[in-house]
Amino acid sequence: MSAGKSRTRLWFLWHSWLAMPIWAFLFFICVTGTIAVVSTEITWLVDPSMRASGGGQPLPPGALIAAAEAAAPGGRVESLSWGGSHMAVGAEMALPDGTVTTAWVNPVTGVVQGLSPGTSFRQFIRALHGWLMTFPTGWYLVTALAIPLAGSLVTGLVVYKRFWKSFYQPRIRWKQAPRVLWGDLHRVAGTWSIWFIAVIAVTSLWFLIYIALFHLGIGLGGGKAPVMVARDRIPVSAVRPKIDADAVVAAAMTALPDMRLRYLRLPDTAYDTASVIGSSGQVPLLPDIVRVNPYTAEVIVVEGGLEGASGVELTRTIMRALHTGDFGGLPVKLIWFAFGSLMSLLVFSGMLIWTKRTARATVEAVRGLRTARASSNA
Amino acid sequence: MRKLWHRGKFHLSALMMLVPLPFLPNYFSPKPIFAPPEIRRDIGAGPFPITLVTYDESPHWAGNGEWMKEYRIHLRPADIDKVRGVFLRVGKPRNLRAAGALGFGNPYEREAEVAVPAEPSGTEELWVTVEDWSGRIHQTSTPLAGFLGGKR
Repeated sequence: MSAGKSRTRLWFLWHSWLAMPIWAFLFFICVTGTIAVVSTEITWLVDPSMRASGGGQPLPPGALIAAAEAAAPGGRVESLSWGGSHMAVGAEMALPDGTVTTAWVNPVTGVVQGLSPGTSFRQFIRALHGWLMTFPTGWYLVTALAIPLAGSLVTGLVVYKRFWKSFYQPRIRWKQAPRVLWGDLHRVAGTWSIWFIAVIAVTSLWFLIYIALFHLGIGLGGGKAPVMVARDRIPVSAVRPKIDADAVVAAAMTALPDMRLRYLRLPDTAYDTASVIGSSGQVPLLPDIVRVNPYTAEVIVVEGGLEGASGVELTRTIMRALHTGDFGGLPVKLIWFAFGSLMSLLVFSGMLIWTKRTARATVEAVRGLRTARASSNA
Repeated sequence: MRKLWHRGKFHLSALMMLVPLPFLPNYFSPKPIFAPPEIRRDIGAGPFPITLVTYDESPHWAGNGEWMKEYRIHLRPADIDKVRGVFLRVGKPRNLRAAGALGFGNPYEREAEVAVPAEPSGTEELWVTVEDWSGRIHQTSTPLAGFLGGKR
């Protein structure tokens, strides 16, 4: 065997051993992550109260808040989120018993179509995928997969000579034996998802580094002081003044007329601003955040685009957007879902190839060695 | 047995899927099931009776070198729109600017993350500063001893 060939063989062993011992865990994380990409869409399909027809003049935010609060005694709306014309507006409400619930309000008729108490499927699948429901142990376990993932990508590219041929001459031998078919699928899917695996590996590695630095007490810095309402701008009255949500959103839309409204966060405390979040498409991947004085409906600051955030915050936002595919609406999500499925298939087919070939090859090699030794002993 | 090990050893990582299982019931319950016992303190700041609640567990490390303890602030429902803010601080605040951690979130159950001493001497006081919507300040304090939680 030539030196080049044995080196390739070594790379190939690395490629096999990086994922094989953890394949089931990796597969689980790939599948849950793929589901997480479209979790909102799945709940939309399952839960009719989240749907809206899309036609008609949308109601102002104040009317949606009033409708939601009328549906739950004592409920206080903390935020509104708009998911597009086909979705009901989600009004997150604080309840007197200390829990939260989401009211799904039809954006046109103002009818509360349903209440979803507690955490949503989106949050659940995220907790399952991201930290196995146990933080921070699970977070470390999951993000550590970034290392074998990146390793599999690199070794795969070394092992698979002329992988670029799969781009213009993808070869899948459907009629051959399953081992051959799985091998072809593994190579073609792998080549086509090079960019996606790289994105997922790098962003996951970032999640690992980020949390590790936090626990090591090494601050990444770059945190900005929160924007608050100046003390002398807070009104003096007997009771809490009512916040005019319509005026708040209108002020934000005046500041950024092209913005697609996605989220209204009412102040968490009396000293907080109201935040209007949307995307105006100024800078890809980055949302626009307009901080508004809730009492006067004056825009305090427009944070958005590149100058809005420091380096670390910017990295966080971009890494998160790239990892989840949540930055360009449904089309991007569907691309992420498709490649997430391909990645799950890669893990699964890799395992099948291993059990069908590599394991047998190893057994045969060991047996060969034994017979050789036995015959030399004789 | 050996055969089983040979066939199954590479699928053992599937056991990782069991990790989330014990946490599921707690996750889906609206209130924590396996939460440690609560310590409650009834205090009064001016006209506002307040119940402070914390879990009987040690303060946690915040990563920035400080030890933090979370307190939940229960006002009477009739008072929640009269109170502008509730601040908690270990040690008497010198002025309103340094009143401490501001309660936030659900107005019925505001939460405050309070920086606590790493090694309390036992004589510290937890100061509660309430500002109402007319701008008046009401202050009171309660001993931190017995209200920090955990084994100390």
